[in-house]
Amino acid sequence: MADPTAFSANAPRLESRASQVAQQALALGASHVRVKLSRDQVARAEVSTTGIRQVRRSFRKLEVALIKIGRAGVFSTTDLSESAVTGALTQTLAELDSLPAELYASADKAPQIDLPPGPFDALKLVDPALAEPDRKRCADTVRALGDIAGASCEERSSAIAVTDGAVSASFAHTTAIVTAHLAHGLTHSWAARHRADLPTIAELKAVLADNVAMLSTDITTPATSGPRTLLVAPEPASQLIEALVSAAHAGDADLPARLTVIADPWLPGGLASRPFTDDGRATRPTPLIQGGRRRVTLHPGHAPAPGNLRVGLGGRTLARMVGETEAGILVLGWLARRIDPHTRIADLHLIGHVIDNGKRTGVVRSSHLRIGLHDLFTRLVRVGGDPWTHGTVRSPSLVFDGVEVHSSPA
Amino acid sequence: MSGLSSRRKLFQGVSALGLLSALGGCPRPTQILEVPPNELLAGTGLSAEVVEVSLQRLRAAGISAGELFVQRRLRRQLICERSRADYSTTTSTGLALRVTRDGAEVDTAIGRVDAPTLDKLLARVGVPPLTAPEKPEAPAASSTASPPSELMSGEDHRSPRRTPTTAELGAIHVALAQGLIVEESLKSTLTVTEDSVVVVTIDGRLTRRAVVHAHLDATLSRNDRRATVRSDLFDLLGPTSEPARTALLGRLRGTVMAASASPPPGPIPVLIHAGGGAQWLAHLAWGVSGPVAATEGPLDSLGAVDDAGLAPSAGPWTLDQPTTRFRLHFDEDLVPHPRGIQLFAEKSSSANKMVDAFLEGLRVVRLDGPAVQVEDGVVLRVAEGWWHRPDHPPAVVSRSTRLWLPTRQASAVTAVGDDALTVMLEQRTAPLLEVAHPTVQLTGARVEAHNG
Repeated sequence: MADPTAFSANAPRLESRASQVAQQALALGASHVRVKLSRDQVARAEVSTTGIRQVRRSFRKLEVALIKIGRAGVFSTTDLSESAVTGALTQTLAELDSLPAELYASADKAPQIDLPPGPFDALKLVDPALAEPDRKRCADTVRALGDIAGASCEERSSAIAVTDGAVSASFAHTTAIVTAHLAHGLTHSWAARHRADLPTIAELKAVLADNVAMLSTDITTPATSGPRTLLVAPEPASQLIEALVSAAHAGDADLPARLTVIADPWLPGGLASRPFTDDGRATRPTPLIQGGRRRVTLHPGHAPAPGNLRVGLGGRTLARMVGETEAGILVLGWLARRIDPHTRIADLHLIGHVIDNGKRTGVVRSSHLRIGLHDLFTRLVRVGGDPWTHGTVRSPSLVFDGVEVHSSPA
Repeated sequence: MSGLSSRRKLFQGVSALGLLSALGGCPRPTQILEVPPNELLAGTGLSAEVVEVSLQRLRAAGISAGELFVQRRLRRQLICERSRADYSTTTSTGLALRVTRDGAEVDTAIGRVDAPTLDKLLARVGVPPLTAPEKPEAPAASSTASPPSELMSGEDHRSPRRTPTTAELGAIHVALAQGLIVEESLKSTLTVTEDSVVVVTIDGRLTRRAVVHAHLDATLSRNDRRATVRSDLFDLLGPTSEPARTALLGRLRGTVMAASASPPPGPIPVLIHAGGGAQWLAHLAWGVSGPVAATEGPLDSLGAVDDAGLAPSAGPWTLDQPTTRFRLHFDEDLVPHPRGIQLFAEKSSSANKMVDAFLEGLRVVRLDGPAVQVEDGVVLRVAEGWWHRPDHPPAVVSRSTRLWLPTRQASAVTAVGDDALTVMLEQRTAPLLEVAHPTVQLTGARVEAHNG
């Protein structure tokens, strides 16, 4: 059994090595330097029809950004031996020297090169519950779920150190992810900082068994085409929020005032919580959409800010909202989810239940909606109070009104 | 400007940049030398002595078949804009071991190259760890229980092309920028990738294979218009490269000045220039999410290749069998991995005539990834392409144009040209993938999405 404290010692050790590389770069002639050193350990197990496959992986990477006489260069390597790093530093600096002067503006016209960023924050954070990834625990998990679904389990420990040569920052943490693949392309994923924060195997089996029953049930209530009220459960709602933020355009009109999305890197136990950015700057919560208005410029396909995407909560649970709905569809997952990055048209094939007079009735499995994401969110009428806690996006249940749902052949 | 003349002009532009030089369809001959083991392993982090002892230990453990791979990739990239240049390098190294033990193949790999790592790989395939006196530094002591062996001189397959220096990369951009007029600006992304793999078999044979791939992505901006084309960087090196540079700027200007349009969604005849569909073919050979075990044997994704991977049983074309299996990721199980993919046909047509006769549809100069798998097809972005309509000049397709291409219908290809072009694709940390294909024309493809 590996010593669980061994990995936690990595962060300070990486910090020391990163500082050493930075000092070396400065000694070799760099005027500014930024060094990032990271180490990942991953244990993964997955079960499929051919049996259980297990992988244990260890990965180290050094990234060095340099400036010499106004010329910027970056090198990254997985070979961390003294000779390789010294060789790479020397060569990169020499190659910056060798580049033609015509490539660079004269000193008075030279653009400002933002390196290193400042203020550089000396943050150090090691998760006190840091544990070494355990391949056996992963294998046990997927073996237990394997009777019901194709499953994979991954545990990862990461340590990162960043320095500008003078000040250093480092942190180390873990993540655990369990993914289950069911029939018709239905996938569920649960992730948390620690394996103990995930649902127990019995709880996972119960959820999956419900899903299997739903997938194998005859569709008793085929949904006819037409505008519907959609109640989207927290997990599929989180997927919509993620798509909305990453496909946002600067010129989008405002959304309903009840929608607020914050990129929050400080959320306790959040999967995407982290003390500093890749540049070594301290992170802080950033409101992306506040009261329906976009607060930062969003670039399609790029994370708008580091952190967990946290949706401002309403007061009701999903069960209560179902009880209050006269007619609608409860969406428990997406069998297929495709969002065109250019047109932002979402093609969503849903699975769930018909709601009739506040009660779940037949299974809906052959319906889909094709709608612009922004258009969909303009129909948001209610935000629940029950956030999804097993992912980087923490969205509660969302209710949309008047959404055109198309009935597809079974 | 008539449709035909402009099309020829563009095609000639493409030709000048490498198409015609590769019409023979064969990569340039590789220089092969016989080199002593220490020289082959120089700079890898492993000495011949360490490797020698490891082979002895493998044999002593009853493993008589297998290979050790020592791999290094260096990628250099220079991005030049007006008054600014960014330079970056990325080095990836690793060791992989594939052995046959008790009739089964065992694969393992680690992303480091040194003696302790090799020791760890041996332990993973069941070779007992070394005791102190047997450390690799003292090979004589370790050989008491092992059969005598000796590393043999091996073949060194050197790249036929000289690796350009970083200064030369910068000089290419400077030379191109000198040909610009006032309202134009140029962004050059110059990428050089050097791959080196040393393969050591358990019986002591060594082979080193080195490949250098270099390309330029040039983006010309003029007023509010912009065009990007890719060119083989080797054609732009040296004192005789002036015509190639002029042709490249001509191709960029032709694209910038042409009216742009989006073909209507739906089925459309498609012609893909030689080498331009490399991403598509790589996807055919690899499947949805990278290499799959099935690619080790015949390419079942086409259903038209027999067990030898040679004779097409249906349709006018086929892909040959991947030439070499190889590792994919360090630190994970090895996955069969093709080194080369080639599309060939029993019957070919004149590629020039195919281009001249193509009057309606989408003519693709280059497709780009990542490939998105959809039902019975794959969607790729058209990085450079022209839309042809009768009685209209060719129009540059808008940057968001994406093309759905079939993955299972070999018969979709209706004509194959008599040319060929080999393109290198970078696939994560895997060795460069050589993809060769001639000009192809196909039906059944469709424009998948566009936003005007």
